[in-house]
Amino acid sequence: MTYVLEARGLAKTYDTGGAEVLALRGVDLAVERGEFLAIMGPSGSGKSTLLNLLAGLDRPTAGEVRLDGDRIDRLSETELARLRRRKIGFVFQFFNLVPNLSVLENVELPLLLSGRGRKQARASAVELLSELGVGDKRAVAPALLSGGQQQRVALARALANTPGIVLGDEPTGNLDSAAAREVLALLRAARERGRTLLVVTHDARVAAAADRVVTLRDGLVSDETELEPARPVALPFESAERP
Amino acid sequence: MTTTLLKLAFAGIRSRRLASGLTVLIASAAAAAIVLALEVGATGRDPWQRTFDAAHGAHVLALVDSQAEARRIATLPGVAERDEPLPSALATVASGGDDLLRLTGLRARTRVNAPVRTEGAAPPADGVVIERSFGEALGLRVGDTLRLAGRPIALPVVGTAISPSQPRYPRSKPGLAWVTRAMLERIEPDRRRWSWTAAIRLTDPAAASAFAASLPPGAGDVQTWQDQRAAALLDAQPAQLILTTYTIVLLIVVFAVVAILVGARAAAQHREIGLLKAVGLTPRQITAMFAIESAALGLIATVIGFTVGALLAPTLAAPSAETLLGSPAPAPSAWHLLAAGGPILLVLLAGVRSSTRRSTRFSALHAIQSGARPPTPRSRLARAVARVPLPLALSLGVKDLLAERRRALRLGGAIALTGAAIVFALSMQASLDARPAGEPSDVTDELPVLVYTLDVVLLAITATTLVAVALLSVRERIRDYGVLKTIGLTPRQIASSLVGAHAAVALLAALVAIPAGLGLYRIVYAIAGGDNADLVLAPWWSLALVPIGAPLFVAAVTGLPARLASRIPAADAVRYE
Amino acid sequence: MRDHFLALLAGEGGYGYELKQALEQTFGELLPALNAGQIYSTLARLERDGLVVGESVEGDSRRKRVYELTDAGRSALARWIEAPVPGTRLKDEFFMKLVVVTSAGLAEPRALIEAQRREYLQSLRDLDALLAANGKGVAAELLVEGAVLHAKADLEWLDLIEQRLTLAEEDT
Repeated sequence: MTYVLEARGLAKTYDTGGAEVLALRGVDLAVERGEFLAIMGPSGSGKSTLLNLLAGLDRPTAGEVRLDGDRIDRLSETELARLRRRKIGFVFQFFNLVPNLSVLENVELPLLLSGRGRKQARASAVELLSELGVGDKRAVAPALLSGGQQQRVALARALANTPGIVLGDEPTGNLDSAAAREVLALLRAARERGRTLLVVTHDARVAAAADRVVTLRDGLVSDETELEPARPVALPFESAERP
Repeated sequence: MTTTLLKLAFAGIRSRRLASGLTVLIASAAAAAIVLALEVGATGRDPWQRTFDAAHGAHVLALVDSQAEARRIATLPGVAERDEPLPSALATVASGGDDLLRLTGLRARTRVNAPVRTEGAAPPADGVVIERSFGEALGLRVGDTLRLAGRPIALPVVGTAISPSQPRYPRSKPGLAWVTRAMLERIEPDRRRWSWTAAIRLTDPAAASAFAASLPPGAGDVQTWQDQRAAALLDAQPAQLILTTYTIVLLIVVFAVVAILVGARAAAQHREIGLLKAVGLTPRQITAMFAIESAALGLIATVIGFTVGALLAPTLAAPSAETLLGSPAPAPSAWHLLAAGGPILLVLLAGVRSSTRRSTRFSALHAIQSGARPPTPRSRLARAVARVPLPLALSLGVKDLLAERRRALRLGGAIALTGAAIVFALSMQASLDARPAGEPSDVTDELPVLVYTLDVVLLAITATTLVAVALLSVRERIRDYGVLKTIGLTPRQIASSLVGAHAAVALLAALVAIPAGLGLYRIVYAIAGGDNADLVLAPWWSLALVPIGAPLFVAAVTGLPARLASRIPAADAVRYE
Repeated sequence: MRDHFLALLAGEGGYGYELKQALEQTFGELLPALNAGQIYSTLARLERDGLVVGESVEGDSRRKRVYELTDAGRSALARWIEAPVPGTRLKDEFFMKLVVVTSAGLAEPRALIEAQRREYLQSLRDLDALLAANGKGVAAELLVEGAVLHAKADLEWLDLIEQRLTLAEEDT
């Protein structure tokens, strides 16, 4: 079967002025369509590097990356850009909305890039923003929104082109717990609609919502866990003391 | 606090070499222009005095119709020295043009207002001695033959001379030449057509104007020595005029550039400024810090500009010194240094003030926490432009540019001024081209060279400014470019967003530049005393070069920063602080 | 549960069955329903320890006794209210298991840790699902959030243990 995203023997070495840093040392990963995969690991484990390579934002030192079965690690920047437009939506920890553009213009951007007409792009963007609960903020500059609102706009932008995959780099990392919960719920809703979700996170709660949790350590996969659907929890009060 | 401010200011200079260098470059150019404008006139004064002294010049020179009248003038009270009145007649040079020549007949060497020999024989001599600038204008040298129209007389040119009363031909017509009395009678036998010149030295030179005023009006053409000097110095006027114009243009560009650079610096150092505020510096002190830095750069620039100007002044003044004795020597003075430094410093400080006002009034805590300056609310202009359907990359670039609205306006202003200067040069060139062949005109050959040189300097400055500002913009946008790449903009689109937006600004600026440049040329022409009927402006097809050339030029110049922008690695950029 | 009984009896005395109602009202779903026998045996123990005193009241049923706090009971209650619940909990089921199993060489520590990690993650998932289901009171919600945080802390601890293990292995 064709995996949506596949990595084989992925390695990345950085040369930082003399010292070589082995960020990834041979990672294999296969993501199925419609799956929700979480990648955890301590800082320095290579999770962000892995995400960058899977998104085509960086080139691996060794190994290959396949998107919908086609190799992407040898494509030119231009081809990768065109690919990303249609197939990948990205959500960042620090939101990364373009400050010069209004909320609406930020969300329209991917639509306009992929060739949608102005009116259509605008209409789609407006609809998407309302769905995500920030429709009334569309003429506002991003900097004036709260963290949770900004991330929702960022998510709208990521979903604008109905990409097959949504990649998240610590999407709840900069949010308070209430906003984090909302964003997680929205991510799961996107997944319900058929998007594949791949999220790098250090928030165990986000990871627990995933179907599969991969743990990286020192540039290698050290653990892989599949989670089952939620089991019922009995609420009897359990105390060490007996009545 | 002052020591701290000084230390901070100098640390600032060292760390922003490109910006500092650009500021010094452009301020030097402006300073040099000021100094040149002042000195080109000054270099004339001393040589004229020397010429006057060598010629034992006339305090009052009167050209009248009759010998009797001339004798009468020469015997008025107050006259200290006089010569026999000299006869002269007009003749046309037989060269096909209408070069008019006044030939003065001398019997012997005169005492007052004697022609100063520069080459060959001194008048009176067999043949003709021509005034030097006349000879230059007509291409006559010693050994050539001068023919007069309508008379079958060939005069061998045996020497050249200068006179303090004769400004440069063709600015002053007719030309001047000296022959013997006998030769004059041959050239113009009809004595009624002769004019007589009385050359007088007064006991009180300062009373020359009063003496001239006391003469009956209509007596003839009367010149005091002050008139002669002013006329001689008038030669420097076109050059001075042009230099003054370009000085103003350069000063405005200095203001714009400094405002842009300091503004960008302040924005980039938002957090540092916040820290300074937290430590206790007031907004005024922070502005003072930037001001000291700019002032220091301004002083350096003034010294450089002054040196350049002083060195170049003789070359510029050379043409006007054709009628004067001795090579023009630089006459720099401390007053010129002040005159250059004053406006430069004023403009620099104004630029600093105008750009830091916004940057120093903000919450220190917010600055330290967020690090970046909050974006300016979108201006009406930006909102209007946002509605125009542009290709995506261009639209992004224009929005970026308009996010810093003042910077975009200042940049556009600098480009427009450069364009106006080029239109000015094109109009001047058109005037030169329009004059009939062989006829010397008011606009001498040196002036276009001056104008073109100044234009090249201005172009170089604008180009450097563009590169600097584009680089600044790119540096400010590293993270944004990374994000855009992630969303799916190709490197080419990112580059074209930068180039396209700047080219669009250049196009608009160029359209403004055309009427501005033409208007400027009109004004300068009028001040220079040109006849409006003779005014020739640049033709439309040469003007069309400006709105075509400006965007291309700007696109080429911003190509390098744009290339850098397109090379930003997205993976690192999105996490850039 | 004895101190909780004391607290419920603190106001006026109460009948045994009134106590049952009070318990269900206060704790709701947080407690399983206690049957009458458990309630009366606890009351008997409290009486034996001298913290409450029961008085028979004439009525229909033999079991109707009114219970009241004694002075001793009141001071015991006061002490219990003042004293915070012990914070240091140096007892963890998994840790005990890990220590004993690995020291006896019965299993690889990593395997245990991975399995436990899976369990904690799954628990998080379960707890989140519970929260998502509506109809819980504030108390229940808070209880579940508390469990979530504990589970997150436990996961962090697992990471720490694994890290230390790796260091220990590298040293040898």
